[in-house]
Amino acid sequence: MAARQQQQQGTPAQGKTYQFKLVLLGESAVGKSSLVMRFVKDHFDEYRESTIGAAFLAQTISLDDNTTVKFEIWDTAGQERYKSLAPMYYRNANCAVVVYDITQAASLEKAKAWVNELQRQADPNIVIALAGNKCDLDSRRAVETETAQEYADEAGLLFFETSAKSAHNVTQLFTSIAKKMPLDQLADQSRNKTKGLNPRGVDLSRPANPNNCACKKSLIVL
Amino acid sequence: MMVHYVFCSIFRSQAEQDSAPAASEKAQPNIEHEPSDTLEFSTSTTSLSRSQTPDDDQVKNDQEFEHIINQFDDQAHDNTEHAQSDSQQLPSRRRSSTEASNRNRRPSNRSEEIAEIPFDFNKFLEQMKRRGSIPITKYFKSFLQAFDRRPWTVNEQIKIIQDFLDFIYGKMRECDVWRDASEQEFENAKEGMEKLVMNRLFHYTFSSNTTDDKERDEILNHKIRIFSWITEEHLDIPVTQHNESFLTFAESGRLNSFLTIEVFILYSSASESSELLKINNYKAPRDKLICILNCCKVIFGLIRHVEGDAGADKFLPILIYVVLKSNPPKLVSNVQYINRFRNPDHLQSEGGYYLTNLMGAIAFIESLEAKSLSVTQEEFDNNIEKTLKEIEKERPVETVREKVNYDNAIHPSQSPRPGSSQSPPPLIDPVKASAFIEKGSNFAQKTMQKPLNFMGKILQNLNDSSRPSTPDSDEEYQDYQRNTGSTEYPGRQTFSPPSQSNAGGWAQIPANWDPTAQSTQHIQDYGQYRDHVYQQRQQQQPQTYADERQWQQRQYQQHPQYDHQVYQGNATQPPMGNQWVSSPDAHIPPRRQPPPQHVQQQHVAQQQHIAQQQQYQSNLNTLLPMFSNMDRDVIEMILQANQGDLPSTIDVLLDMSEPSNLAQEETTEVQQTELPHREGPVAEDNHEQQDVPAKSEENDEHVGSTSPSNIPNKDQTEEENLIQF
Repeated sequence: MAARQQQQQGTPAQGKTYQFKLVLLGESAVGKSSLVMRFVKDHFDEYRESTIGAAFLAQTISLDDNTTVKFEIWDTAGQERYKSLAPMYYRNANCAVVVYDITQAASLEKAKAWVNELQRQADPNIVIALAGNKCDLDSRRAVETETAQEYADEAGLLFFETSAKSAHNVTQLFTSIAKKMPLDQLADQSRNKTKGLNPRGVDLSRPANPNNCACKKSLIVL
Repeated sequence: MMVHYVFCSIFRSQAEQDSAPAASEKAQPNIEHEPSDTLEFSTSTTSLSRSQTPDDDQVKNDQEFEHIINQFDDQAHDNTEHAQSDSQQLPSRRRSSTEASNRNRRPSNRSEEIAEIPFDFNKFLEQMKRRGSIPITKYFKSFLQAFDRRPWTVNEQIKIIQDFLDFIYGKMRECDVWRDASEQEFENAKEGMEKLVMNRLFHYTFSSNTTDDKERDEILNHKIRIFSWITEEHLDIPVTQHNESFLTFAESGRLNSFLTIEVFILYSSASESSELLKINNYKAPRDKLICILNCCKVIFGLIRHVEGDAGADKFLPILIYVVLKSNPPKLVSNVQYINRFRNPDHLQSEGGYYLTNLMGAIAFIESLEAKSLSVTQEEFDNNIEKTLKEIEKERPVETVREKVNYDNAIHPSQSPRPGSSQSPPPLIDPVKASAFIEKGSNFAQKTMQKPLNFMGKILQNLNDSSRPSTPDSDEEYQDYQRNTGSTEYPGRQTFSPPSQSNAGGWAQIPANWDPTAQSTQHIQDYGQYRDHVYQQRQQQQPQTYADERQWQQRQYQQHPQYDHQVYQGNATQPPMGNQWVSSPDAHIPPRRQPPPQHVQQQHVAQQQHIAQQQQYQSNLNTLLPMFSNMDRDVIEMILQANQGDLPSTIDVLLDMSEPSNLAQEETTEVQQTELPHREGPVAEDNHEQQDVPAKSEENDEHVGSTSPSNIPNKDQTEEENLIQF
């Protein structure tokens, strides 16, 4: 896991900050971005880091007096045509939030496909949460809570029905993820890790590209 | 072992030399002329930075330093040493420094964080000149020299540079200049060091020969040109109903409150692309990354203006669209370079995210197919066919434009030519024209018997700049021919043999080649191949010939049918390829008689001949309106003299219309007695050849000189503005 442990900045010196990469997946228009915006904006008093735009956001939450978790949230484009690019984004991710829209039954199927892919190809220790967004639109509900909950239990996912609009369950979602991260283990790992031996940078293996004969050489990882 | 020892001692003695007091002055000029083009961009992630390393043992330092460079030398003999240093030296340093940083880190509070000290490269250079940093300068110089010793693979480069930086950061922390610096100040110093090192090693590390970056650049560039028909709708970027009027707004630059995403796109194709295009003005990975981040920032600014906050769903399509519309040169090389050589700590969060997005955009374009877009397969194929035809048509025109630009660039005193929108000015003075026609009548006669002096001069000028300057290899080639009696030369397969006409050469599209008759994939590959060869020929290093050969072999295995087309002008089959020579209409006899033809080849040649005549006629038709003020006979003569090759004919005609050339010609005519035998490359290449170095020199100046040049300063202010966007 590529989690980095940092000394807490701005709160008591003995605190620890764990930094995690969180990737956001799901069909377009299910409210991925809104969900994160809600999460980040509701904590505006906390340390926030976004200098470029809303596709990358960072948010810090405190679990207890000594432990702070900082999420670096990588949004992905949900349109089908960008599906093949997803591995670039979820590579080295510590956790993932897969979002569907409770008013669109098809979006849950897409979400399931993402979960499958993550469990197959992403870091084996990745923590995955399923979020049924737009639960404020209960009248137009197309996916029953029980159906999704059942699936989530089966697949071993955290599950929440959220509303980016009303902020329902948004903080809970991220806090649960933070709590589910194996912090102690990570702390040991990151302590033992010598920095220079880590893979360099965001090593991005490009997706398989059959049309392109000249890109057989793999990318460079030390 | 001996070699290794010598290497080490040279290395050490060099370091010792440099530490002499006089050396400090010697070292300074090296860093003095570093660029002042400091880009500023605030990333608030401060990474774990190393504090002092406890060991100050000079011997150990030297060993460690040597290890950085020597780690890839002679693996066998090094093994024991390696094992030792790997297991004890480096990790112990790493561990200790990490622990130290954890221990020593001052509890910083938020006010310190907010008062962030901006990165200032000049300040860093100034610090490097202080007496206290002499040891650092010494290590730096030694490192540069050691790096120069032999070519490294890209993996070795990454490792060596990273190890050196880790090493020098430790040393910097210990030296007087930075001992008491705050974390932020020291972070800036590290940035400065990375920039300094990478500026110096840029030419070794950017798009290095051990990578396929250049090939990918060419392929991407060609693909983007083929996909020039893609619009916002194809990527489902929202477009308003009032495109026309907004388009006018955007064009006139009067952006007002009616702004829509459409206008933004149009606007951004001008402005972001320029953000992306700036990437080649900078050498340091840090600066290049900032160019990307600024581009992304502009895109977000535009999206936000229209629809409030937006995530990746909206961002990525626009980024792809911007890349498609701006077609930034060397994009793959740049991205890979950043990915390899940017401090990994700064490729973690935001920087890493947006670099990933750009890589995603590249990957998307590289594998773009009909189902990637909102378009039917049929529409997709038709658009590509149409675009390919347009590209082919545009070629000569582009040539003219580039030529003019180049001339203007090197002869700024000459009055600039009016733009293409205005009515074409007389290309040749009537008086000179008549004088020229006179000359022209001699032309044809001379060309019958011996190479024309004037033509020779021009062709030589063109070819000298277009071909890799390898006079040796020409001799080598002739030697080879003498020895083997063969016209085939293993090292130079792709170059037309010196005495061959360029007209039938592979680098030019065969006259009978009909793009529409080929499958799309085939066409793309052909174009890729051709672009690839253009680009390969710009290389100066002989070893690229070998690469090229491999590339051909690969291509051949994949597309034998087009290989046949491509090679029909090759040395092994001169009669088929040398279209104009085998044409009865051509008045120029080949300098060397081709070997007897096979009957089958004759048949093919006849068919080709018909196509050639058509091609000749169409070339002539192209030329006549272009040089309307020139006599038809002159144009025809020159076209024939150029063996039907359109681009070179245009060049010659253009050169003829240059007053200065007419004057020069008189004086140099006597000296030129022989047509240079190197006619291989088509003229089109010449311009690419001439243009590229000119541009890169320009870039070097932008980045490398202290003299205040306009562009970096402008960039800088723009960059600063953008940060506050």
